[in-house]
Amino acid sequence: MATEPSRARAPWHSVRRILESASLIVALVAVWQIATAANHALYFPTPAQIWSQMVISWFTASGFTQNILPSFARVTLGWVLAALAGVPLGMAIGLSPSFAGYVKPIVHFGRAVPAPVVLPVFMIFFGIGDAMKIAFIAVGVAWPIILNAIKGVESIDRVQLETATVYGIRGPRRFLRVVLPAALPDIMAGLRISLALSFVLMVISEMIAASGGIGYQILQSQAQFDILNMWAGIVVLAVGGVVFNAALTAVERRVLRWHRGLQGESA
Amino acid sequence: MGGPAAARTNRRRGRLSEPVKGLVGVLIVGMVWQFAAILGFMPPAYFPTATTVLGYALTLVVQPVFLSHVVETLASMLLGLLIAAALAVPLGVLLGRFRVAYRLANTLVEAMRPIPALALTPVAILVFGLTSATTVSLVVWTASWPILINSVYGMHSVDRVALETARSFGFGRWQLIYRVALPSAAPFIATGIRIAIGIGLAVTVATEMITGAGNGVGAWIVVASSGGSLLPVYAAAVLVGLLGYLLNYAFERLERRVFAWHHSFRGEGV
Repeated sequence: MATEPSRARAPWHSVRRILESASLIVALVAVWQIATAANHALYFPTPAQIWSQMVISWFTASGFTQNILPSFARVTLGWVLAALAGVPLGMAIGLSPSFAGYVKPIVHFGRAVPAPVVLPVFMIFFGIGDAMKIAFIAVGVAWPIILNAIKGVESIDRVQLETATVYGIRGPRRFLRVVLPAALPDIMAGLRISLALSFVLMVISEMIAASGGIGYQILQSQAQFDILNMWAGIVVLAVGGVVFNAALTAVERRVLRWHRGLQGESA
Repeated sequence: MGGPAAARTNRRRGRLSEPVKGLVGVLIVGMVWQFAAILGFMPPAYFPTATTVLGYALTLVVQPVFLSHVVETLASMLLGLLIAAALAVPLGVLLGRFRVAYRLANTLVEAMRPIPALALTPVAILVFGLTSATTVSLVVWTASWPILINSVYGMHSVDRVALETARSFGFGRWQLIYRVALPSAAPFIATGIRIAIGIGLAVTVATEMITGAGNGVGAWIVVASSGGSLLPVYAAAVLVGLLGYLLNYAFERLERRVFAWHHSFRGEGV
């Protein structure tokens, strides 16, 4: 709405906003640094120590390729597979109300099963390698994607659909110009929920069954009381979550630029 | 597809047979499972028939040990949700009502929200040990974010005119929140809690699996599946899934009932 004026006086305005929004984070890190430096608490190292450990054990060539890359590749692949399968499936279900009646309870049930419960099943069928983790993440996070795609298609304004019919818009054009845009906000909300979930599933699959990856390293470090390395791993994971989320937010803003209710949608 | 009239009759027919349809769908999936298992592509220990799983699930339902694990899991999850709601709703109201607080905290929230709960498992274990407090603390972390975000969103979507009207009638700052803003935001907060229930259950079970030594369905599954048969896992998945389904269903019904007066349920706006 107010993009034009704010862009006009951008420099000072944006600097102030960045300062404002960063101030609380900076303050918190500073408090953490001071408190931990003063106390020498066993389990809580200072941010400066964590940072230097992070550079040593995670951002070296081997640390990066053996632990960081595999973990984030698993999340990405699993999530993308779930999206590729879930969005078309959900939209197909949503487009046919009579079919939806048969399938919806099953999908709701599938969503209600906490994915970690069935981790042993995936371990038996896929072993404990990458295939297991990717399949586990893909199946586990597909449910919210399917459900939101169904919801998106079902919530399309009847008037809009009927108007399209009146103007003779049908077939692929109807799908691309009317159905897909209208369903997109809900679809994006589903993708966002499932991205958060795929991080959870990545970490648990690595903590329970793996010989590498961030989740494995964090738990191993904790078991060996390598507290510094544990915290470094947590920060890496946290930063990864933030980066992935920011990337999705950027895509969402672009794709849904026309949509008014964008701000604060979904969780 | 074919026009409004067809859609309308479809809806009328659909309302009557919706549960029946759902049951048919479930039965079909069950039968496909049953035949696939009977054909025996996989050893029965890994891929038991649907009826075997169902039978085992029924014996679990009356088994006190298993039930106590379920109760433990539910208790951890509910306690975590309660604490999360007690923290996140007031904070969300604060951030949603006061612009300064929102501007200061927004980036921090956006930076902390995507931190995966399970990443914090080792810290929780160090602080709380291998107890259910570890599980509860991670549920609090997970559940707080959707509740917080939805509370802020709910506060932001409060009708300006209603607020101004109440103010001109002499409502104070806190009265405005209590009498106007909070009721109006309540359905959004409830949606946040419902989202949190789903993810909260997954995190509860996952933490129980990792900490292992404790109680709960997650710990039970780790022990039960160590014997090499997947039958207990399937049975537990069916039961816990059913539980989650019923929780979600009950909460949705409750929302509809409590917020029947709200525009988001009366189909006006939004």
